[in-house]
Amino acid sequence: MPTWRHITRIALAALVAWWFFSYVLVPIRVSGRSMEPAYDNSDFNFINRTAYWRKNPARGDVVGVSFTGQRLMLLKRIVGLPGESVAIIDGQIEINGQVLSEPYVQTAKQPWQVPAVHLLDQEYFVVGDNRDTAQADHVFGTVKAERMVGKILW
Amino acid sequence: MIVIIVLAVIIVAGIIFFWWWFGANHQIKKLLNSLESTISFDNRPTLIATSIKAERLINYFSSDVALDIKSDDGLVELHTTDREEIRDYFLASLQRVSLINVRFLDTQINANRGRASLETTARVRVLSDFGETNLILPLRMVLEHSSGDWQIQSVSSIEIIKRYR
Repeated sequence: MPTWRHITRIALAALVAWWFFSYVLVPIRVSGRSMEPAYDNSDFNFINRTAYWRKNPARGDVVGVSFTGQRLMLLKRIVGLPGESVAIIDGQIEINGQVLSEPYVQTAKQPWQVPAVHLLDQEYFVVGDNRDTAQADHVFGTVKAERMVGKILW
Repeated sequence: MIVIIVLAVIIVAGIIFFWWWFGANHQIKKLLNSLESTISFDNRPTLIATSIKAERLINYFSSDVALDIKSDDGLVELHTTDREEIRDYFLASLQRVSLINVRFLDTQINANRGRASLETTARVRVLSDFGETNLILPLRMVLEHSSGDWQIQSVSSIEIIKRYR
């Protein structure tokens, strides 16, 4: 027979687990191919919500971008930081006129074209790693810092 | 003494349940759940079922409704201030698709004195002759409480990422 002590312990453990997986490490299942090859369709991972408590998001970070909550998010890589100018010329990203080295992009780069975009305060430029799609089919662009839930764990 | 404590707990639980059940948040979530089931169908509905769904759909919206919805890929686009037009759009959609499944997720409600605004993400799955399409529509809604019911006054798309095409 379970005692009240057991029930209390189980309830407390459940509460702590709910809090931890809601506010610290949010479990995610990758859906889609926009972050291949680093993150494949159906991969399991976590978004670390504490990653930006003490520091700002950095270039190269893979972040979860929320729609209106945590059940559905976009997974994208930060390439442009606030105050920078980002352009895409024939699929090649340029930051302040300098070509950005992107070792994580393993696919062929389609000839995307984006004229220079100046990022405002709290604005980041995010894009997926898989560039082998038509520009119109790939979700990328500027996003406000408040929409970023956190950084992917691994 | 124990009887008094148990009674007190039951009374407090009852008050909390009453407050939650008749609270704006719960009522609005019920409205969204009902809207989901009105829009969704697994098989193309019969003519009568279609008419019932279409007439029911109108009642979710206030007479001065404003819709400004556009999906990222342009598959869904609806700008109107006429709720009859919403019904016509729905009926036209039914002709083209064999399945629609709508779920409202991550709903954040802010209700205050007969008015509420909310942000939600509509996950839409559509099956048509052209295959399966999955859409994600972040939406902002404004609702008003009149004659005992909540009605949707406006729906607009939220731009999460400013895109460059």
